[in-house]
Amino acid sequence: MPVPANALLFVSAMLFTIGVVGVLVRRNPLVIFMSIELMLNAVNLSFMTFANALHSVDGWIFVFLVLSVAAAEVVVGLAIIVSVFRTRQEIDVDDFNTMKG
Amino acid sequence: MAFTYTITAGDWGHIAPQLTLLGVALLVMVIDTMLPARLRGGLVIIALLGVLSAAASALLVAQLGGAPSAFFGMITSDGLAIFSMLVILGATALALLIAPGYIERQGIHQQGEYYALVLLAATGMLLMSTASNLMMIFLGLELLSLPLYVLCAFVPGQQIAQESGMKYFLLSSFASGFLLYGMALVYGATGATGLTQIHAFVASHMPLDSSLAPLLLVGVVLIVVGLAFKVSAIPFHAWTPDVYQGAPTPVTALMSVGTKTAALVALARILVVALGPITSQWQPLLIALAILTMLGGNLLAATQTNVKRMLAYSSIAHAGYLLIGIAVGTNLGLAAMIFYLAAYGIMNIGAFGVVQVIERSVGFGTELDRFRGLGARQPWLAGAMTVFLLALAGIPGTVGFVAKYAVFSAAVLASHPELTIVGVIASMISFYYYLRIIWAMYFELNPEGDPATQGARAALGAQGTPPLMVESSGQSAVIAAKSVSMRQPIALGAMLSLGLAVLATIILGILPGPLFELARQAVGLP
Repeated sequence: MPVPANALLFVSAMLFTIGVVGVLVRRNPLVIFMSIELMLNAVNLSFMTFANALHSVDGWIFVFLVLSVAAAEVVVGLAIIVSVFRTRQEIDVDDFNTMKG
Repeated sequence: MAFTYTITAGDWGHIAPQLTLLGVALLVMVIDTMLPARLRGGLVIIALLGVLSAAASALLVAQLGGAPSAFFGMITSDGLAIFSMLVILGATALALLIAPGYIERQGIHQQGEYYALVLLAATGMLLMSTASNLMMIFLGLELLSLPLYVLCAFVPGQQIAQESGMKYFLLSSFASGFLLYGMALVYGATGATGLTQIHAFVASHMPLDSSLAPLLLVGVVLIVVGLAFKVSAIPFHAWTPDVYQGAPTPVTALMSVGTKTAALVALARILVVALGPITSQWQPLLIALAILTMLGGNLLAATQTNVKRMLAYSSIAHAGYLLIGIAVGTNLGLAAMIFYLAAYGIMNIGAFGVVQVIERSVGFGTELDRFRGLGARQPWLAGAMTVFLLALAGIPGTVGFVAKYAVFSAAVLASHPELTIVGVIASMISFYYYLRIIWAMYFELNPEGDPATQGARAALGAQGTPPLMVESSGQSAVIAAKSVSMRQPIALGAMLSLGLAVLATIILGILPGPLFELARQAVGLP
């Protein structure tokens, strides 16, 4: 028996919400970044569900694009996080307060 | 299902500007590895030639006409696309011109990477402003964001720049998540990702029934939230001041104009073009965003003492004026918006261009104090800054006034006078902080003493106390010792860029007719 589309959309919405909450409450950039990836993958689940329900290929292609872009983002993001860590030896976002106003 | 679509030469022709920039970016990177270090400054010339040929090919695409869309409706090259491409390419050229002097002073050695990344970011901006499919909009957005993350953090070992890059990266990908979820919901509601198909679906399902409306409207709200982050509309602006302040100034200049142009054109395509049938549903949201952004941006800018940071808030305020063009939901609004984008590009890059001459190290040394007495020390530089600030404030005779007039009159004609009233009040607030800088340049004394006597003292050399500059921010003693004279040298490229921007600000302010006519034609108005 196929899983009903509504259930999949519900799971996707839950995952997205967990990701958003993670970004807002966690203080380590790596964990924040993981939460963002969770949001993107929740969106992918939505795209797949809609593509199946609507019998359209657009959703699948969109998922491929999101996956490859997310991979590129990991490369750039981790590079920036590493370079920050090299200069400051700590990466808690609460300490990123050089600029104010 | 069978997929029978063949890519023709015409398709490639439509993305010739993007391909040109991409090719030149790769070329710059390859040549960089072959050149000896002392010749690498010449790379900026290759990059500029690339931007110029991309602009030429954009004009060629416009001349040739033909089918307005390519690649199965993924890309469009209508008037809106051509106009915004030219705005972006012009902004890129001006931002490239001010880069070499800055790069040299900040001791950035990886010039090849810098220019290649700027060109790649510009490629993404072009792609986003020509996209006519949700996928391409997302892809363009990411292609412009990824190089900008790196460029923000480009100065090695400089904490403030890294902080800027990290903040931009985290908040921007967070916003991308919202944008994507919105796109997924719109796709789920309409079954299409192409903007024309979405338009056709929505138009044929009016009025929206209760099964469709929630999905579509939540999707639209999420898309607006995601793109509002990129155009830094209040309340999604929190990243802007920090990122703009910490990034290298030529990058800030490019980011403030290019990203806004691309994101606003994409937003306009989604809302006004694709979702035109449900204008009444999204309009209140956009009006609220525009009002909050105009008032908030100007009020926050008035409290700043760092000029670069103040310009960041001022760019938020200008995003508010620009949003009026979309919020009114008419073609005239769009014409006013793209005209405003062209004007904003010229005057804002000019202002950041002056700031980068003044700036001592990334993120520091652009306090208002640095502008005191600039009128006496460097009258030409101060004069250029005055022109840009007056234009940003919207004084008649400058292009800024014409742009504001176009946007406000579009709001009145679409019977939204409340937007005009708030806009005018917000502009009056903005006079305070723009004129504050002009006042400092001409009517306040330089706190570090008269430069002429300083020079004489240095020449005598008998005092034993070199005129060291004292500054509140740390780490400045070394830099202060380095800058022997208070007169900041202006690199040739920066001079050219500032001169062009001043000329354009004044000429387009007096004779705005032809450009505005182009903007009207671009959105299909007679």
